[in-house]
Amino acid sequence: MAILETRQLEAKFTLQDSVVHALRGIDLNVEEGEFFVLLGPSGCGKTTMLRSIAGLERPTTGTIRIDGEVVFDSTSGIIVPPDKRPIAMVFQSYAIWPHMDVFENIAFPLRRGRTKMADTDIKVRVGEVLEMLGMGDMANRPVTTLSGGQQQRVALARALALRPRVLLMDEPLSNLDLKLQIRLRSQMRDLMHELGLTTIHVTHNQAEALETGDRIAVMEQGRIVQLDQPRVIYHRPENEFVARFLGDMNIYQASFDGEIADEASIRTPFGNFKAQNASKTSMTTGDNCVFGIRPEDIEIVDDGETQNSLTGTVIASDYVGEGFVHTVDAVGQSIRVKCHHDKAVNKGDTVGLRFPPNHTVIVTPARGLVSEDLEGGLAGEGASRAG
Amino acid sequence: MKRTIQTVFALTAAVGLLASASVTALAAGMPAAVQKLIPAAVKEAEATVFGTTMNPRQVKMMNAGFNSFYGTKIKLNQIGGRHTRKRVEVIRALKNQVPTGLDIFWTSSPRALINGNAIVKFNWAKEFGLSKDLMQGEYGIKTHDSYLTMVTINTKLVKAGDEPRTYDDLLKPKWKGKIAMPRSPSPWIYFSYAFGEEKAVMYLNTLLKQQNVKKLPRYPDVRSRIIAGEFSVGLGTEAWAEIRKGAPVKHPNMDKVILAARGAYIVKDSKSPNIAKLWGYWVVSPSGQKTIHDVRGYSLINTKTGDMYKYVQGKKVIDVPFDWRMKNEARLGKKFRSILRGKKKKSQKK
Amino acid sequence: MPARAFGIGWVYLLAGVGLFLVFISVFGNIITSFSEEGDVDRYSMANYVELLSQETLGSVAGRTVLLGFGTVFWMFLFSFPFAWLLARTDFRYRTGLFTLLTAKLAIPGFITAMSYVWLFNPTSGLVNQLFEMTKFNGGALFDVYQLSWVCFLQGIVLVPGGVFMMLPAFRNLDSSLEEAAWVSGVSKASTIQRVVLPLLAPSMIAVSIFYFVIGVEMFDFVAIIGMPGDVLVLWIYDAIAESDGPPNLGFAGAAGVLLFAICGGAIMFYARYLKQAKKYAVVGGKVRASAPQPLGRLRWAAYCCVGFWLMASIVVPVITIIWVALVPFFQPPSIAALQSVSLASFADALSWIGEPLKNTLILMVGSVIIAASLAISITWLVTRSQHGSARWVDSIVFLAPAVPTIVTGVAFQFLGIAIYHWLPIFGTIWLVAIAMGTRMLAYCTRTMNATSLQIQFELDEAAYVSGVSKLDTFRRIFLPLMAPAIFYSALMVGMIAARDLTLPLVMNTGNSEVVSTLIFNLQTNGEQNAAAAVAIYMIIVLVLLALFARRMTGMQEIRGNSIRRRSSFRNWVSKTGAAALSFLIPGRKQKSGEG
Repeated sequence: MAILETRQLEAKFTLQDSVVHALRGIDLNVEEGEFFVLLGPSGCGKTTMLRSIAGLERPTTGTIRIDGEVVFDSTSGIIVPPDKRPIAMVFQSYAIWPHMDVFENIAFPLRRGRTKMADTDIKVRVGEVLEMLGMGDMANRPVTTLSGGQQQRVALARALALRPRVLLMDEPLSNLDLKLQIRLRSQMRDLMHELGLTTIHVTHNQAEALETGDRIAVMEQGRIVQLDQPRVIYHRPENEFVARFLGDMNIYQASFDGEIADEASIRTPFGNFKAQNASKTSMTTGDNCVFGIRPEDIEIVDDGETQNSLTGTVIASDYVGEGFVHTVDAVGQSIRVKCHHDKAVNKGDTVGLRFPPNHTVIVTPARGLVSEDLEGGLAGEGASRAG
Repeated sequence: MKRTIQTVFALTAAVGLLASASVTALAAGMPAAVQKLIPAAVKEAEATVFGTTMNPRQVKMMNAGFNSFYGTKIKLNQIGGRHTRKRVEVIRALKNQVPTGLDIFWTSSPRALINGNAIVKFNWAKEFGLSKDLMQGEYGIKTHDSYLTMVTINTKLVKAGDEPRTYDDLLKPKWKGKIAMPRSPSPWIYFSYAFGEEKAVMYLNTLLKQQNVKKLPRYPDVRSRIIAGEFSVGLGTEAWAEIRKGAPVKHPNMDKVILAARGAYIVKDSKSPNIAKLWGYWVVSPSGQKTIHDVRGYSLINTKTGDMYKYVQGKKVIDVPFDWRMKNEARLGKKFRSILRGKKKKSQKK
Repeated sequence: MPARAFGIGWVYLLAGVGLFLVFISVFGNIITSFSEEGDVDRYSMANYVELLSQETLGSVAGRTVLLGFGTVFWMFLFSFPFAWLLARTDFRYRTGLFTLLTAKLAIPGFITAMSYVWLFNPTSGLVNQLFEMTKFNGGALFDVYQLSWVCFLQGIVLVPGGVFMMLPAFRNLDSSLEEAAWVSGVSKASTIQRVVLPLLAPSMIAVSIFYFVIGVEMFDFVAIIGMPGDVLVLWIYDAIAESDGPPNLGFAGAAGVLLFAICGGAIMFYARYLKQAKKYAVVGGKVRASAPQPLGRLRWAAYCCVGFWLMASIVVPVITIIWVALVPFFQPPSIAALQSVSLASFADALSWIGEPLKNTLILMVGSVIIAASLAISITWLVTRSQHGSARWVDSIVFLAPAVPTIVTGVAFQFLGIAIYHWLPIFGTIWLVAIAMGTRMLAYCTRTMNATSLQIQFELDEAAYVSGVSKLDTFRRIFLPLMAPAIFYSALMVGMIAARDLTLPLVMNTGNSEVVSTLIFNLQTNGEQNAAAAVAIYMIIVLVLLALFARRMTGMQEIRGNSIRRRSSFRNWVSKTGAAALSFLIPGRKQKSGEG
């Protein structure tokens, strides 16, 4: 049974003089024990979504059910306040109480929250949770003396101690330094799985989403554009937005030429290629379409005459630590190719490339997207240079 | 042991007899009607007189005077404040059956209290054998003459030959910028009776516009700032207490003295009506007159021991009658307040 | 138990009580403006007719507005630097400055006014006389009877209040906001201009508007010093003046309503400003105390500024008042005067001060409890309850100080009479405390609002999503974080309640003599020197109380966050203080294990 369900969740609010449509008919089911990620650029509605589930914001219409109970229903007017929902939340700014020490920050909700525990039980629970996060000796520290990472863990500890049915996290790692982010994100996910805790995690960092999520919902302008497992989303993005938001992808125009079994044929600027159809729109021969391939999936080959291969000239090579990103020009199109540092080619070289058909995907074209959203991608990870 | 008790009893009895004897002796000069009230007053034990702000020393003097006069140990509370506001409060309290906490309202203007049914009629003169002149309408007894129109000068700043002799003197150019007076319209009500309304209005306007008279908030401010030498002349307040203390002020010999009576009125819900009546009787007696004179320089001009008695000799005394005041106070007060607020000046003055 | 279940309702209730009391004084003013002179229960427009037909109304109203602006100008000129010095720099004498500000609050306004009259009046002013002795020029150098002087003096006496109101906001400013600018290459001056000042703007504007309202209603200086031409508050006073003449409560009410109108514009501007102010929340879960900035050479400017203010607002009045206490009547210092010096008045004062001092302390404590508890509830309602419409509550509370004190006193007297049969507090010091607390509500809400707006709402949300009820969040998150603001407000209220004269005087009955009315009584009857001695005692007691209160509540730390506790005892005391406050809201701690 889904532990969290939303039906047709809409949220509209007025900001100065305009109406912002933050959520447009969101349907969502999150299973118990899932580490569920809401991913999207800023302004896509993911935070609104999270806060609506928490009860900190009130959607305009729709239904929300947590653990079988209706906590929000616009038709019957049910709205359960946050303190009565079986949730806990970790805020982006941590929101730890500056006038309490570490112990008290965690103990206070236990003492005065939904569960009103006895002092002895509280001590045990707090101790457990601090141990779990490696902060066992910090119980009496005033929180203002802690580093960012430590504060974040206190915020997490506070939430975990409550043993909520659903744990909500609003970009909790975004304020930490990179190394710490990377280290904590897998630790976090493992911990949640160990505890069997259902987590809804909001982030704009797609690397984090890919690494931690059991399922990812990619959001854009108030809608969920694709909801699936990370691998599927990464390798078979349904549309150009998803394709570009997660990782980098070379995108080109083509013309659809029919589909046999699972393989589609397309006429590309580079020739007739075979590709996977990830797009959900139905196409007929002759339709214009858009396809792409990720830089790391492109193979450098000697023989430029196999299926899905082409020849081009290297016009740039950037060293990025873990390898190279070459920019190759072919028939006037720019192709980014990522390869291991052993396989270096030089500027000016002629090179043969192959687009493996199972990594070449047809995607739904983007409509009026903002370019920053798409180039965000692998920022901060020593990634490819934006196109 | 038994002997000691007997002795104690005997002594107590003796003292008691002696005490009552002296009380009787004291009370001997009083009319029977007054004496009759004493035991009841003693039972009441405490009373509050509203009318003049007194400091603790002065309150003590009032208590001492009153109690030695009657041989009692009654507690007198003397409180002051803004009469106008207090009157309204008393009337409202009575209407709502809330205890006013007052017994005597000591004031010059009982009009509102009469209209608001807040004081009781009492024929002091008839009941206590006092002069009819002292009666204030059917309600009050005159305790002293109030002289809100007095002129005060600073003796260091005003030489003997320069002293003003008439009120018109104050309109002379040499006094420009040197006169202070209270902001209150009250003195002007009395001036209206003495000079006629038109002249009083003109006089005030001249002071305001031509003489740059300084308006100060309260009567004591006028006194203290004349003493301090900030102003040479004060209009509208007396300074007998300060003069006796040696302050460099005096009252020049003006040709007129304008008086209005201050009276004691018994408040309707007084819890100590007997003390109230005794208080009124005492204040007009030589003992009381001496006390209020020592305390605040008040006296009836007929009281020979008072400063005012000496002062009024050889001067024209104009007494503003009770009935005239009751009739004209409200209207004149409003009028003069308006004048005090000022008229548009044609040229901007410093 | 039912009390617990009422939950956050208690806060709403207290806020409601506060509103009700404010309403009494505002409503009282409006009602009296229609009541006819003399007769208590007849109503008409007569007073407005009289008011509007005064020829000088235009210039009086105009002068009143100028008075307001002038007062705010001078107040700001000193309180802004002082708040800055205290909250953000390493100025050496921070504790000293804070003590001085507190001490100033203890000095009654009329004493300051009189001392300036004595020194600077064109006829006999001491400073002028000294100057004349140098034969520098003809005519007096200083003439204190001017609007400019009154504005200056009113401004400098309001400085402590202004500082206390702005201090919490200045303290809470997160340094990272400025640091972000500096590391981007923005100069310090530009950072201050473009980053810091805009963030502090809500607080500064609120304080300015508030003191505009206070400034036009202050009585002591305009009455005692006097200027050519009146202001509205003098007309109000005149109408209820201490005289034997007829009353004119109605006119006072009408003039009071006009004062409202003048202040109303300012207040509405503030209300609209409050809407945007929420975006300035800067205290969150990641608080970092800002390091004190070194003053460097600017410290000489600081010394001058503080020194001047110290001279003008404390040294002058205190020296004057000590002199007055020592001589039998006021006179310039001379051989004769020095020979007449005696300490008799100090002995006298000691014998009179007992009962009034007791009443004063009751008045102080009562006013503080009422004002602080009602104000904190109103602040919560306005800034944290998420009811957008609560802003109008704030505007109404803001109106309370615009009601002339005299009229407030009368309104509460009438209230006392009306409720006498249920609650017989009429005639007691408790009614005065309620009236005073109501007037002081706005002082508190100003300070508390500014602080509350800077505390991120996420801190509340974190509690709610953890299942903590609104009431518990109020008590255990909100109150402790508001502790500094509560303290400064309480300090201000306590001092002002103890030394204010107008209100206790208006409401005076035999049983409610306080120290300020004692001073007044002594003065009225020519005992200036005893009055001065009593005043000196009062100032000393109040200053000591204030210092003691600071120590007890652990508010020693002037800048930085109050969360940095220096010792566990202080920790405990502060917690006790906060807990004591929360005692006002019943439904206390449940036994553990219950529920």
